[in-house]
Amino acid sequence: MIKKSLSIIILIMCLGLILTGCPKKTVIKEEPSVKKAEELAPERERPAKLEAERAAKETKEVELARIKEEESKRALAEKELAAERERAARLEAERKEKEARELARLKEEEAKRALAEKELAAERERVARLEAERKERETKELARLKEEEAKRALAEKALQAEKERAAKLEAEWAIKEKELKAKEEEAKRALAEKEKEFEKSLVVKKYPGIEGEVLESKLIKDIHFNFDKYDIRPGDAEILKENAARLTKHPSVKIQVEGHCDERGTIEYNLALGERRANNTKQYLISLGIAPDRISSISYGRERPLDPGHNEEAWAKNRRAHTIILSK
Amino acid sequence: MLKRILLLFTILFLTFLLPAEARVYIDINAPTFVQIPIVLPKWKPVDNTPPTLSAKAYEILKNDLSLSGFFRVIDYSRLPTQLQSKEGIPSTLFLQEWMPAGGEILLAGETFLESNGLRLRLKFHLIDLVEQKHLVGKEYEGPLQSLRTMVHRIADEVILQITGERGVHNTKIAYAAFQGENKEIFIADFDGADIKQITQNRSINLSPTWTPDNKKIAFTSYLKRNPDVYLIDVDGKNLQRFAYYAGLNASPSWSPDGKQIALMLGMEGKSDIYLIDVKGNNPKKLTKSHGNEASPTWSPDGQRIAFVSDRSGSPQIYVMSKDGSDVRRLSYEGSYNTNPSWSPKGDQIAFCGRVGGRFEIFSIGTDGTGLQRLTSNSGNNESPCWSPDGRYIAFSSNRMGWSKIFIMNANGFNQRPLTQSKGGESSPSWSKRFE
Repeated sequence: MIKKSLSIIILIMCLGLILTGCPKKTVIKEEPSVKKAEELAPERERPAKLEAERAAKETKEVELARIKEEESKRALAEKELAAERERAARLEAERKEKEARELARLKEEEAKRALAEKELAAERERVARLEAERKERETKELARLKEEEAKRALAEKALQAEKERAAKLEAEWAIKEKELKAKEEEAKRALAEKEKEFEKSLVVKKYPGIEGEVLESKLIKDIHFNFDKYDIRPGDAEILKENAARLTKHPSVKIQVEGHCDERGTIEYNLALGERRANNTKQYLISLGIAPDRISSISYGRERPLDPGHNEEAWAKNRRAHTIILSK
Repeated sequence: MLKRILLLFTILFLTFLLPAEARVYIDINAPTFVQIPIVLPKWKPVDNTPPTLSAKAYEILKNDLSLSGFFRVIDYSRLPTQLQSKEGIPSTLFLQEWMPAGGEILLAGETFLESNGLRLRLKFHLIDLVEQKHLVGKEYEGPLQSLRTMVHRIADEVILQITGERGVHNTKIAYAAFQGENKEIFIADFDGADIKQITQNRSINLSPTWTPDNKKIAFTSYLKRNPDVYLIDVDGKNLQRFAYYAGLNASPSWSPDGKQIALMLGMEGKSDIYLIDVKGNNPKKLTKSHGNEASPTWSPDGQRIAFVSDRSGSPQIYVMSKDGSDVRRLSYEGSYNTNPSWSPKGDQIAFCGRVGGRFEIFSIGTDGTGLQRLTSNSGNNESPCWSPDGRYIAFSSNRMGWSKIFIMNANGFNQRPLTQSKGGESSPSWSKRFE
């Protein structure tokens, strides 16, 4: 601090010296301009006739020149004085300017210092703010962390619950699967049983006097017809669908559809009618996807009644398409 | 129609082969005709001929004449006492003596068994008591076992004298009959005697038909688990699988020239009428409708075939030419007409029609006119079949509670069962005459 004040004082002293020595230099500078005005006169002298005039004139002119010179000398002195004054004024002005400048500089410095101080304050404020902000952030973060922690805990709890639920479900599922499997097995067994049932249902049927031994199953059902008709009735179509489904499950089975009639009407015409009943039934089974080479048809006309009665009840039973199994 | 007969004439029986003019005594086609009363004194067993043999010949003849439907037989037991003891052919005949018998015709005969016991001779004379005229006298000779045939010939000869056409006593009728659960083929004589079972395969054997040579029977059988047509000799030998196309093979009918057979074949999934050759080959389809076609029967001129078709929605009788063209519907009455049978004379077709839930036998002219109902109110009557002379129709009827073969005159008269068996008979087929 002391060093800084000393250097400022020295600086001020130097400035005072400079200000006092400057005016002498300015006087020397004015001389060349006066000499130039004296050299112009000789150039205005004229020839003989005008010698007198010129001589007069010349005298006059010399006079004049002398006045003029004096005048110029006075003017010059005045001028120098003016210049001196001007210089002094200028110096004064310069000094004043310098002072002003210094003042301004000081002021500026002051301002700068103030500014710096202000800035410092601002800085401090900023730091404080930042600090506050940081703290806030930290608080927030903490809160967030806490929240997250809580959330995580919750989530973990939920997860745990979920896991438990999943485990429970899995257990249930396992049971169900087991049950399902059991059911499936049951179904399979039932199917196998059913197949066995089909197998079991097969009864050997020997028609006396007719070549070959065939099988019959109660599971392959008969369909019935109206008197003197061979079209398949809607209800009987359903029966044929069931029969076809069973045949599809036993693809090696070959069948023969027998067309039968009631006792009314003549033997030959009933043979034709039975032929048509058997064939229509066969064609219907083929339309349900049974391979044609698995089905043959035969007409028994009225020769093989199921019911020997002579009434409508018996007749209705006898008008039928019966299916036998030629080979398994 | 009974002719007027004059009486009182004595005839000496010196020659047996006296040519007799065949006169029509009765018109069997008349809506009603009165049976001619015929007097049958006892037959005489000549020399050492057993009286039982003579009595047997007498019974066969008596039955034949009754069955023919033309006669009211006055047998010896119904004669006045003084005539009952008379037997054989009198050397002289006092016609007045026979007046009390009440007959218009007298038939007398003798039986002679040769001493070796093998050869048999039958002799008869036929006398018109009204016109006082000897009609015919003949003698037949043959082995003892031909007794029935020989008597049938006598009956046929008598009928020729009276009606102008030989009788059909030497024909046979084939039919199917139940044997337990199975149907077998049988043959019986016209008089119901001499029943022979010609199949014994325990199968279903249906609708027999005679081949034109009278030597074989064609029928449908399920032996091979398909309704196929078989041929078998009348003695039950040489079973031959004849038509066995896929599906139904049934109801064969031989053309009059014997060269073609019309039948039902189901090879296209429904029954149609086809022609095949005598070897059962080269089937040619005749029917072209979408209906079920059944029961073909040839016209005697071999040009047309009658058959059943349900192309109109119910079974009806149709006629077509033998190439399947020119199809015409014949029956319009009723909703169920089947089993046509073309008469040997060609003018009529007999068939089975349903009336009020019952099946009856009808006949109709081949031009569709003259529909006649031949049976009524007596069970169901089916499968009509003409005798070769066209004077009878055989059919099946369950009027007795079970199905039996019946025979009636073509006008529906004189219906009687063919055999005395229990029943279960169906589908008669009449043979031609056995010579």
